[in-house]
Amino acid sequence: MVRYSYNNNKRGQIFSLDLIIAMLMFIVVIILIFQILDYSNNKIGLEESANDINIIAGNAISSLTETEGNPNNWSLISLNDFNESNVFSLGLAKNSNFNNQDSSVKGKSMSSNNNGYIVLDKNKISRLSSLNNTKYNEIRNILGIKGPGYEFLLSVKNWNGNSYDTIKNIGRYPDDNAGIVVKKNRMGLIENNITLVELRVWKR
Amino acid sequence: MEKIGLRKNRKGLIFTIDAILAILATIMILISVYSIFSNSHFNSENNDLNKIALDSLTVLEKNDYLDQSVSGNLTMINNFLAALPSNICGNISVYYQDKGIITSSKKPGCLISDNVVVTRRAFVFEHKTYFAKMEVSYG
Repeated sequence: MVRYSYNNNKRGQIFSLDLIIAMLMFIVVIILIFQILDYSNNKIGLEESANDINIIAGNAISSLTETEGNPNNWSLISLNDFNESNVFSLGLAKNSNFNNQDSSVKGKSMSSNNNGYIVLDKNKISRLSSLNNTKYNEIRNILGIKGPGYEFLLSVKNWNGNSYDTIKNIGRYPDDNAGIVVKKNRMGLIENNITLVELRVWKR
Repeated sequence: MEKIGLRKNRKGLIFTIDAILAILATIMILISVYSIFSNSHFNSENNDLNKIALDSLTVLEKNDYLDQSVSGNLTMINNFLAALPSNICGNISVYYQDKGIITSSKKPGCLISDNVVVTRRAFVFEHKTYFAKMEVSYG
């Protein structure tokens, strides 16, 4: 009886080699899945931000170079009144007032006269630059750059025949914390000089 | 005897349902992993190039550089091409109706790549209609 009982209490084979290999593979697959999920989440987040900034930068630079702003005399608004309630959009293009045009261009199409689309107003650029120190946040919001940690730098440069001279830098330079920087360029004119407008929108 | 011989020469079953399912599952996993790791970001490069090309033709027309090119003076067009952003190459050609190209200029030291954006603009000079074509690409 004792012997019989002893034999019956022998332990069985719980861990086979197959099971160990299967468990190892299972653990490796689970770890891989979590790694891929983590990586893809980060990647999707970065791409979403980059796409968002890309669209915002494109819209902002189009507004600045192609339009006069709304109202078109926004540059005359006083410092205290310069806010999102009084200025709905910012544009640096010269006002297209037909009555104020020189008679030599009145017979020409709107595309070939020296107002409007991509013909920039020096006074508006100077005004925007002077507002930069005190009204940076308002300018940023009016331009539609409203994402979390989003900042911008607008550079206006004139061609001197060999290289570009920077006329104004408006906004904030991308710092060491800038994760994503999107740069958009547009060509234009300031008093018949070839002008390059660069807009960098970046995220902290 | 013939029947038995025929049976013995039959080919065995190589693909089981299990193997097919395993192959399908593997392909699906590989495609998923590839799509996660591949670059599928939003491409706005052509849109940006198109804007630059349209701006360029507008600047050239507003400053009468296109008119000057018809008269044979390409100085200002060449100056404009040099002013394009350093990473952008450009060619400008001017056509007159069916007479083909009148003038053509390109940014020096720059070759248009395969991913080129082309824009055209009509303009009037001395009561005649001309066409300007701008080709731009990243160089």
